[in-house]
Amino acid sequence: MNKERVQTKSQNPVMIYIRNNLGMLIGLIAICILISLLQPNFRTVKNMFNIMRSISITGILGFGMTMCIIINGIDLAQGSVVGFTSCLCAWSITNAGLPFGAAIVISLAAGLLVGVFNGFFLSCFPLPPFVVTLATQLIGRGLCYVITRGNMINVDASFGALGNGYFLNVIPIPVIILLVLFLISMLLLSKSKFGRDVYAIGGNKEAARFSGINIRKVTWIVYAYSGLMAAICGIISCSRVTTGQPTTGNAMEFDAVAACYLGGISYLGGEGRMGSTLLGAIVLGVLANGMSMLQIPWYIQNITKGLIILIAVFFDVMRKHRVKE
Amino acid sequence: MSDYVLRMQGISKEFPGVKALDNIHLNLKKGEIHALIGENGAGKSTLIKVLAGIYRPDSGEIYINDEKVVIDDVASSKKLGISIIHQELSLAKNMTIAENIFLGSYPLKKGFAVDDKRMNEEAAKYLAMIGMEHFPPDRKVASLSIAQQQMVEICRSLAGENRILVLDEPTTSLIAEEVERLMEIMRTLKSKGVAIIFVSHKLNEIFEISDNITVLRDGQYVATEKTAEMTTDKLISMMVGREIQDIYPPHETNIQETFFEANHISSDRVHDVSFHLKKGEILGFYGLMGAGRSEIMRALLGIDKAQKGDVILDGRKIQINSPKDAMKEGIVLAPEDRRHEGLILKQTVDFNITLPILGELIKGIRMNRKKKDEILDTYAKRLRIKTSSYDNKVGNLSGGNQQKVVLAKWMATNPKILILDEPTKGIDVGAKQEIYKLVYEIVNMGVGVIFISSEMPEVINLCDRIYMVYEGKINGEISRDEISETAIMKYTIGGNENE
Repeated sequence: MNKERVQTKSQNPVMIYIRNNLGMLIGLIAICILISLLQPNFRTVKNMFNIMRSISITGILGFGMTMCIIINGIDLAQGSVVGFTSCLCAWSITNAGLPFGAAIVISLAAGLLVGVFNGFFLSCFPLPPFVVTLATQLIGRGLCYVITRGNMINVDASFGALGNGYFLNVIPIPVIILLVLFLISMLLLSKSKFGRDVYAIGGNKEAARFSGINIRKVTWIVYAYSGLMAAICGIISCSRVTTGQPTTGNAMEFDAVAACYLGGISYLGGEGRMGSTLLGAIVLGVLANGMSMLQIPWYIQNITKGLIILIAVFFDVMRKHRVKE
Repeated sequence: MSDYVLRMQGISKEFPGVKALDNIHLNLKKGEIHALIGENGAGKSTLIKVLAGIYRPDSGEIYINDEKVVIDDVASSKKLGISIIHQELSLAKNMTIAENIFLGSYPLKKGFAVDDKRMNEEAAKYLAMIGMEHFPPDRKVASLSIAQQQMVEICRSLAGENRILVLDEPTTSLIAEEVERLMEIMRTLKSKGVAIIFVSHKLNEIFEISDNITVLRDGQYVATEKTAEMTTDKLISMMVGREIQDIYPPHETNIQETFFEANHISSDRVHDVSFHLKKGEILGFYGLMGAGRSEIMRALLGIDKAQKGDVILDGRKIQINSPKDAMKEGIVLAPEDRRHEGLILKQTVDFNITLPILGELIKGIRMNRKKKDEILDTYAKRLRIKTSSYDNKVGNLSGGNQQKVVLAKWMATNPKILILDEPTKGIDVGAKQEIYKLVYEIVNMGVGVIFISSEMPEVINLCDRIYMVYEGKINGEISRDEISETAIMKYTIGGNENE
């Protein structure tokens, strides 16, 4: 057996983060410098928080999506769960006359239930996640129209405090929620036994099974978590515009997937960290914000976004290919 | 109370169409190393998977320390103190060495967070036990060599208080020095009272380390004997057992001149291999699984990156850079994994047989139906494929018939050389016999057949000449009149004539 050198790399978590995400961090800084040279308003603290608020939903969905992708799955139902829970929240407040707290709890429970529904099919039967969650996506979107009867449901303006308010008059509340959920998701994935089991299943399902890991339970929790994240986003969306709209959250799961891939979550599963997903979401947010400030039309923004995702994944795959050889 | 830690009694397990285990017994004492041997398909791995809780037996009883137990799942097997190293590496390569050692049962702080520090420290202890102390426990398993990964797997079984340790062919990819270290570890564990079941094809290892040997054959229990009272010959005859003459129909050989030569093939897993083939000859490539037999062919056909010396066919130097080049020269390969590499199971018999010759059948957008039906009739009949219609899906045929479709597919291309990689794997004896007959018919048409197999009786009875493959090299060559089991065994367990 070869004598191999013990590598002495820094164990400081910040250094590890920078090392793991170096490419994306350099890219982010380069984009920021470029945009601020062209548009000085970009650099203001207010704009930074605007960006953070704009990505809060993508980011939160991304946390759920990251776990799904790591276990070699995907949750395409997220966007429609956002819509469904936001409509349900609005309906509970306006039509059922429930207090805000109760409406929020009902919405969270509904999102969790959809996740449990997905998890049931994916953990108890060998069904492909793509198809199951696509079906749930359609069901969820249909339910949006059932609840709202195709119209918008207006909510009392005071409910808007959640989505539009500020903490200490500077930090938008959705950003606080984003950061809290980031912390929880990160600890869950990187520190807990559950998190290790997630990586083990994504890396080698057989090995996980042989090691006595309860694959069914872990899969179930992962999809339930994703549903819960989507419900939180639904409530924020509802509060932000103080209406429940059946189109809310349309195709949002793809932004979450984009954030994951951009951050470097392996599309083959088994690899990736919450910090990378958050970074991916931030890059997407900065791009959207910067391009809007530079008055670049939205369709060009889409083209740019698409190309950037393609390039990022291309380099990620090439790098892994090299490591393999 | 008897002194058996484990008693498996009358274990039977049936899969659709195959009786994988038929009334198997296995008794294991404290501090005993018990070898479990048998040919491929004898049922060793199935028996172990029963013990691991991966398969549930249809009947039979398992006692641990004289207490009857039911092993429903992997977790309950682990709880009983049974630790298993499976034949296929079962590591999560995306994770670290330490995480793999403790996979699923990581040390925790406060019942929630994985205690990485303690886990790494503990892992380092186990690594030191197997001489891997210079590997940091937080290193990713993906960056280790196959042998090192295997050692990590062994390490995993050291963690925890295990009463019973099962090693399913742990030495296949280890070098001599590592095997020696493993033997040492086994002796240490034995002295601590751990009972060990050791599965290996390498008879020398079995004689060196085991106390008792249980032989299985075709899912049946043959015997359990003390190692000290065993000889190699006796063991091999117990393993092979059956009246093999019956299965192999008599045939006339019509071997002509050498028409193919491949020189100095080397790739990642093949080291300077040269061989030649005669017209009408069945040339065996025998070796254990993973010895590099398939890899030689993959290198020859340009599937794997390889360096090659001269490749000569019919007195002409040829260039083969891809399977397509090889096909043009009339060299075709029926790969080992027929369900994945050889056939498109969801498609019809018709589709599969005509796939390689579509170029001849389709002109522009017109399919020459007459010619197609002719070809289908000829080969399906010649190879006696049993199917009610050529439109049946291949996936619905039996294993033997699937293999015939593979043969038909390649025979339809009029090959000069047909390479068969484990053509009889996973099919029943009757179908095997059919395949042997077909191989005789094929060579009698003047085709050279390369027959890769890890079943000894098969190569002994079928082949006109055999190359023994060991660790990516040709370790010996035996011609028809010298072929015997002991001669082959001697070469394939690593020995050679100079020793």
